[in-house]
Amino acid sequence: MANVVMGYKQSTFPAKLAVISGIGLLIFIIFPFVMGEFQVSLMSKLLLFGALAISLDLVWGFTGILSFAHGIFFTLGGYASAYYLKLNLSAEGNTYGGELPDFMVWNGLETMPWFIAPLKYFPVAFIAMIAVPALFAYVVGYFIFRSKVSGVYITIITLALSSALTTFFISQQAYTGGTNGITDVSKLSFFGTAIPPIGLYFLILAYTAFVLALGWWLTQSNFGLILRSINENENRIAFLGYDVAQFKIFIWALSAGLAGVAGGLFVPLNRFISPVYLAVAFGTQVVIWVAIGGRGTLIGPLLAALILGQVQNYAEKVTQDWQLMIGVLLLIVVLFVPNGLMSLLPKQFNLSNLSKPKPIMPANTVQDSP
Amino acid sequence: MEAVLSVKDLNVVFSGFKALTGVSLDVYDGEIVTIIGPNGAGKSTLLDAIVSKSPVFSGHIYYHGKEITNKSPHEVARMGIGRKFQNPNVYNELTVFDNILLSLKGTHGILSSITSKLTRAKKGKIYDVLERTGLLEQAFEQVSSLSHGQKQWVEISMVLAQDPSIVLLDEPTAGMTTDETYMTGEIIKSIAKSHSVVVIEHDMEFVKQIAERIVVLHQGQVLAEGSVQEVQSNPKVIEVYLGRETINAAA
Amino acid sequence: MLDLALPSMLSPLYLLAQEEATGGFQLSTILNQALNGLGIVGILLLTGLGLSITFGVMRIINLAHGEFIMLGAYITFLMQDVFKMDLLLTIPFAFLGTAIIGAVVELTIIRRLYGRPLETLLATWGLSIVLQGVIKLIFTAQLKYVKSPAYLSGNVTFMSDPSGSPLVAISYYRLFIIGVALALLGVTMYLFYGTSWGRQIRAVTQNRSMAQCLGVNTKLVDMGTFAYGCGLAGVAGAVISALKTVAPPMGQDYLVDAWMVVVTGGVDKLIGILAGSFLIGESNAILAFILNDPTARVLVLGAVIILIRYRPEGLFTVQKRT
Repeated sequence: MANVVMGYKQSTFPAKLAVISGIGLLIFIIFPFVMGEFQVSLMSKLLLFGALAISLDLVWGFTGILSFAHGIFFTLGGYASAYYLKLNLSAEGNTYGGELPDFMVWNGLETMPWFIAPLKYFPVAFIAMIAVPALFAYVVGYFIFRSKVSGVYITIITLALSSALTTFFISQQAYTGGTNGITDVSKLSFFGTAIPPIGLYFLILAYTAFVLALGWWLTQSNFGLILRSINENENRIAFLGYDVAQFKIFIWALSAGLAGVAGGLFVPLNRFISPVYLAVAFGTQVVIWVAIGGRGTLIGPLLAALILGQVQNYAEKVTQDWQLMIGVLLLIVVLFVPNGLMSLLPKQFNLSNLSKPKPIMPANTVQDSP
Repeated sequence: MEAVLSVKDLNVVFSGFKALTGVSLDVYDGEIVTIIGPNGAGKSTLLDAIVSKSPVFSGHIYYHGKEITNKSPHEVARMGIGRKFQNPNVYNELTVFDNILLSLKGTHGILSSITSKLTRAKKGKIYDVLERTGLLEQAFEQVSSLSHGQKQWVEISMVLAQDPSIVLLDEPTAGMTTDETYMTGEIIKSIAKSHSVVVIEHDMEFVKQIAERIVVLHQGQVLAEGSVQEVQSNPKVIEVYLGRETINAAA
Repeated sequence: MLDLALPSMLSPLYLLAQEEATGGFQLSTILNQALNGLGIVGILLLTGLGLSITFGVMRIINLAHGEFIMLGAYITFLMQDVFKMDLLLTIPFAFLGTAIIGAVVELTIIRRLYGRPLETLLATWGLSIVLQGVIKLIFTAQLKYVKSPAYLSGNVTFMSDPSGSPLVAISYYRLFIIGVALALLGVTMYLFYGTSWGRQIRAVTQNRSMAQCLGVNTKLVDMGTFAYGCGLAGVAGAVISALKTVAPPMGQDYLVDAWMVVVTGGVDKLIGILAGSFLIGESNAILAFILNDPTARVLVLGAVIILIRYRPEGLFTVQKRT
């Protein structure tokens, strides 16, 4: 019991959690070798949606900021990556043989806009994929969190933001490809070799695992405690000396960056990006995954994205009314299982409980402390 | 001697309504100042203004000679002013331990909160505070499962963990039994050994137990100031409280 | 692929502002644009009015507001299709039909969630998906068309060019929308400020437990008020159905705009919605004239965001002691 100091265990990685996540990871590693190409590509997409859902869980589940804007961050990262892949099409791959992407030619652009040109280089595009959504979130966050606006009004702002950006991206056809977005991008390659679907799958799996681990690490620390306190009562914690806005802006921008990379990885898989992912409807999908999976559980939103995506894939073969089923499920969860489906698991299987160190009553240890 | 906290000619206005008018107050090191006054006298508003919960219209608040008027709440808190609210304002969904951990001095930045470890020293401090307020047994219970009186102590513990040089307590004994009230009085006296304390109270028995200096607020203004006896024999105070049971019982 | 429509990206706001674009920077064009703006104001007022009841008065975050508009449009379509009814005659049915559905929704969903705004928001979003799905099941996803009455076709012309073609004109139907919107606003204000029912509603929203003690049946008041707000949305749907095609996702187009109008006007007074619609509608029309339609929409939405940031209670609300 070396790590039990005065009755409170040091937060090391709990053994049970290690075993469960190890098994989980193993299943996902074996997955592509067992399943067909379609499933690999579907699962890649769902893992990215899972990562996106985890990033929303950090701001909503833990901090209490309900955002419909996470589709925006995802899509901004997606555009960064789409420009990179589009600009790296070989000359014969490009419809017009020139340097300029097809949608720019159609819309009468003659030279490459200066703010898009640098995205041809991988490091620039890579940084943009994280930094553009994170910076955008930082600016928006600085503006809205340093004010008395809270709760529902923040959510309404994110709705308006989503609507405004969708309109903006559609209207700037020459730069964004308008409603169609950026299509027919090149494959992601590594030193001149195109990465095969299975390679992309593992890249995405690694990223999703990273997001989950990062989320776990952040939320089990003191930082996580502060986030949960902001969620429960943000007014009190300011009087304990915490700059609430600073914490909100930080987690908001971090979450946006995580969502942006997910969007960036989505483009080589999906081969296009369009304002569809900016719109309120997609932002809502993300909210639904988190709500159904279970707020503040990290793993719940990930599982919800994976399972709902898989079920949808099969359901759509037999019925046109998948959305209706999702709506009914959402209603049932909100009314009867407010903490999401994860809360239905028996206590000992509850992953968020597993990650908390078990306290030992101090009574028997405090006395013998100096 | 320089005052720890000095309020000078403070005015607080809520859309035309004068909540505080020209209030001045000095709090010195290690003393207990008790604020009494009828409902709506502006007692809580005064504390709100000090911790920047309510905006100050005019006037100044100095802390160790430095102006803190209308600074952000977290800055005021970090400088060393701790506040307990009227209704226990605690984190019900966290354990008592976590409530205190959250309040500890010195881990207010983002990076430090991510990397900070629960050291032996920190735990020692937390158990120390809980021992002073008698909550050690309940350390790992969820606050929501505690009684109203215990929640009051949780919040007092939180303020103590902040290690402020001045403690502002807004009705710390509300909803407590007689025994609990007495115990709270003793806790406050022990706090006063190392901190300055400002207490808002209604219960005159309790005021007599702890009071050194009393400030009477009435309609947003300071009506009287002095020891228990001085205040009780002050004709203006008697007039305001005329027929009020608390002062009659106490007198 | 996800089944993602692109709702609200081409809002009716600027589609409607686009008609009769005439070249040249002339007085007549400006007047025309201002009139177009008035047309938009009418639609905003009409579609926002129901929300100003459910959100403004009751503080229910109703994301299914657009779907009640859609339901009203479908009721009108059904009445016209089956009974060959005149559009005007279908309005009471649209009101009653959506009000009844609203009452059922309040009874089964909203009632369980009072005091939990974010949960309400999620539940009403779920409801909006369900309503769209159910309508799609019944009527299929096909576009439906509603005929406007013949006596409301044509334009009022204020200025014509020498050849006689109208320069500054507004259609009768637009005027009709403005008329209906103003009439409904008047009726609603009378109900709220001039009747005992309105007093009860205000009593319940200001102090629920006190109202209960005074013998107000708060549950009935809640249900009635929510149903009334939904009924107003239904009327909006009925009137608007003739302007554009009727389809299950149509409500989404109005959701964001209705929210913006209510939030801009402020939730304190019902009259705020008139100011909100006027500001948003006219600034949208004028900006669209100077710049272009999408830019105007982006700017207006941006302005609303800034407004919420600085005055979350809206422009026309008295600041209260907190």
